[in-house]
Amino acid sequence: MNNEGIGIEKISYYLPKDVITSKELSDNYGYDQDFIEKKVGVTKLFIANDLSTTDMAVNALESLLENKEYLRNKIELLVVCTQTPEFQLPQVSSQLQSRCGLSNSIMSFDLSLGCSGYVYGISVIESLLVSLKLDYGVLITTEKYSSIIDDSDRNTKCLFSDASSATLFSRDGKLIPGEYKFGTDGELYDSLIVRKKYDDRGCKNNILSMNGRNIFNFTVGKIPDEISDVCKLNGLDEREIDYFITHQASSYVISSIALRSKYSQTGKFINYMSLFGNTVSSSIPIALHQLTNDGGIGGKIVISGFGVGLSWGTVVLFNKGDFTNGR
Amino acid sequence: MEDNRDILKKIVSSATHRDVSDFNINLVDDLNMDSLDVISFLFEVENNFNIKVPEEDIDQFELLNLNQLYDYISRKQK
Repeated sequence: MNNEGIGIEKISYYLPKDVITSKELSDNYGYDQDFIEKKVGVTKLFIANDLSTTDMAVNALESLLENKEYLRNKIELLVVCTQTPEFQLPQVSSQLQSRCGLSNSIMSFDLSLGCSGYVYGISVIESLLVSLKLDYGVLITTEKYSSIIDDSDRNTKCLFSDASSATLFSRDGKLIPGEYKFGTDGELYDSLIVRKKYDDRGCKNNILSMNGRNIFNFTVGKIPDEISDVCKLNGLDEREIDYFITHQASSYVISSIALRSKYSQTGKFINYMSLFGNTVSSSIPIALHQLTNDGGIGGKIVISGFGVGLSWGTVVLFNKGDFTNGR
Repeated sequence: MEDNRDILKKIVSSATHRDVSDFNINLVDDLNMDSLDVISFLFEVENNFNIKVPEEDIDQFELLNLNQLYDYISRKQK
């Protein structure tokens, strides 16, 4: 844990207006509606349609800056986590700097990670604020998976929502990251992958394919131990943790991790799948935001992201004072 | 000491809350497992018997049938 009070001060997020309901998914893809709602956990998915990945990032950042106009000139670090940018180059972060009127004296770059991206991003922001002696940094997560999902692939079509989030870090932050634990297993790189695929008209598209069984085995086999390890690294017993927020992959994955975790404290594992679907790297910040609104996040929260790569990261967030999400 | 049959019974019971004695049953048709249940069930089989069950073996050896799965595990462990 840093000794400079650097932590999360505020989290905002953006969800597109258009939705697909579980009934529509059931009608269109042949799944039982009960299966989609109770097993996958989805009641609706958010679809960006005409909005780009950068448009969603702008909306999340503008929401973060509401009542904090002074920050436009004070943010010195901007990190954007995305793997679905509308352009291969330039980076989303530079467009965001311009469109949101942030200072030109800003360090900004994109981070190419999927569902582990939020934890990695926190680590990067925290490290840079400390080492460069900066006061304000913002982490953006933004993904438009609808742009890479094959309409005929019912596995991915019934899982992912488009979304973005913005997290402000400062020396007045209330949620302070403790010790982290990270990991990578590139041997399974093609378990969640975007490849070029030709459609009926001979057009080449980037299409997502997912080996659900590989992802499940990796997640449920790995993450409960990672949670245990990160608690030990922070000198904590798992029973001292108030909430566990894993990446919101699906209800089934969340409950499987909870059941296999030490002490099986299933009631402490947060599940907001029914509200948002799987929003990739935005799922953890959105859950932190929602949990705060739902009555508070407690004193010690484990967050754990995992997915594309395969890649994973886990950290304990310590609530110093009362984290009210910038209000 | 538990034999493979007992261990398999326990995994089925844990996954479906049903006790099975006759192994001539299909996980999907007879035990109503959905695709996620099957993935989770095979995860437990792999861990308990310390074997790998490649995707292609599921169809080739008809591993959704409990008898076939039992034989498959026995062969893998030799």
